[in-house]
Amino acid sequence: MLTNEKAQEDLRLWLLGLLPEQESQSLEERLITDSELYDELFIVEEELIDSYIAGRLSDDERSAFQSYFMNSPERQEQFRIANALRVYIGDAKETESTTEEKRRWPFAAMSLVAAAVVIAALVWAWLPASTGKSHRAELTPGGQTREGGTVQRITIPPGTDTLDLDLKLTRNDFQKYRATLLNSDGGTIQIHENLTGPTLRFSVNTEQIPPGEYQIKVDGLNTSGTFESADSYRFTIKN
Amino acid sequence: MPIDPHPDLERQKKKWELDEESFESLLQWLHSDREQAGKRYEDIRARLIKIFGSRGCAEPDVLADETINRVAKRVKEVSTTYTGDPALYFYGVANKIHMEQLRKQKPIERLPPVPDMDDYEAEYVCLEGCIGHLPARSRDLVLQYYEHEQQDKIVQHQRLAERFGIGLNALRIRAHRARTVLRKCIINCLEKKSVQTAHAN
Repeated sequence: MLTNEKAQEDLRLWLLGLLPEQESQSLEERLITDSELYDELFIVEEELIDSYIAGRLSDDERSAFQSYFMNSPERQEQFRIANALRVYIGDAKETESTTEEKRRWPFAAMSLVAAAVVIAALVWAWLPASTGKSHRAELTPGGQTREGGTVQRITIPPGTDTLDLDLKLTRNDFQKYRATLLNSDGGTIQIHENLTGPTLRFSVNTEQIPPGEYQIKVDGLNTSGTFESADSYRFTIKN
Repeated sequence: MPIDPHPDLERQKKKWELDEESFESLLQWLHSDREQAGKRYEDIRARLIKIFGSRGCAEPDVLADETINRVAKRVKEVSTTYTGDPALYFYGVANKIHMEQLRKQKPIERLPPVPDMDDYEAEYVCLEGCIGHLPARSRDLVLQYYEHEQQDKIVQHQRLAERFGIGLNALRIRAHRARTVLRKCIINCLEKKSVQTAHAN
C-alpha cells in the first residue's frame, strides 16, 4: 500500500507549509505521478480541517493552519462546510436522544416520578437548591505551554449553575480575542469570539464542565485579520 | 472520418491560443488515444492547480495553464528527447514558473481571515437538503463516521468497519467519498442560492 502513516503525516505537514523544502519537492513529485497519494491528499486535507475545528492541532499547527493553509476561497468554503457538518451531526445526535427519551417516557413515567420525589427530598435535605447561582474564577496564563506554569484548580460550590471566568492576559496586544475551551482530549467544548482585553470574560454552564482537566486557548486577531496564538490556561474542576 | 474534438479540450485550446499542431502534439505525447490524452491532460492540470494552490499562489489555475502552455509550445522537441513520465516534465516547468512568480515580488496579498465558527448558516441550510439526497447507507456512514472524537472515534470507526466488513482505511476512503458527494451538492446549492440572490437584487 502506497499510502501509509508517514505519507499521511508528510501530506499534513506539506498542507500546513511545515514540511522541509527538499521533502516537499519529493512529495510534490509523487503527487503529480502517484494517483493513490493524490487521492489521499484530499482526505488528509479534510481531516486537517476537522482537527482544527475540534481543537486537536498543536499551537504551531493552528498558527500554520490560520496563516498558510486557509489561503484560498475554496478552503474557506471547505472550512464552513466542515463546521456546518459538525453542528448538524451534533444537532442530529441531540434530536435522536430527545426522541429516545420520549419513546421511553410512557414506560418509565411512574418510576421516574417516584424517583424524582425521592431525589427532590434528598436535595432539599442535603444540598442548597440551584438558584441560578454563579461562581467567579480568575485564571492566569500558564500550564503545559508556558514555562513552569501550574495547573490551576477551581472548586465549584454545590448548586452553582454558571462558572464566570476572568482570563488575565500576559499582554493586551490585540483588539479582539477568541477563547477556545477544550477538554482533556483536546475536544472543543465552547468557543467565545470578539472578547476584549486586558481581562477576557465569559461564562460556562457548569453542566458542560464536570470534574476534570481543561484548557483554554486564546488567540488574538491581528491586523491582517488572522488569528495568532496569544495565551493558554490550564485548570482542573473540582466539586 | 475525423474525431470530434473533446469539448473541454477545445475550450482549453482556445484559452491558450495555441496552434492546432502544438495542441495535437501535446495530446499525442500524453497518450496515443485522444480520449485518454484528454483525461491525462485534465488530471495533470488539476494536480498542478493543487500544488500551486498549496504553495500559496493567488491564481493557481492561471499558473497551471501557463505551465501547460509552455510545455505545449516545446512539445515537439521535448517529446523526442525527454524520457520518463511527462507529468514530471510539467512539474519541472511548474517549478520554474513558480520561481519567476516569486521573483516578480507581487505585494503580499491580505490573507482572508479564518471564518468564524458561527459562520456556517448558508452551508447548514444546504447541508440539511443535501444530506437527504444521499443514499441511506452513505448518510448513515457520514453521520456515524464523523460523530465521535478521540478514543470514542477510534472505537466507533472499528465498529463501523466491522459492520461494513471492510478495513479501517477502506472505511476512511468510503466516508471521504460520501462526504465529497455531500460537499459537491452543498457547493451547487450555495451557487444556486447566490444566483437567486443576485436575480432578486
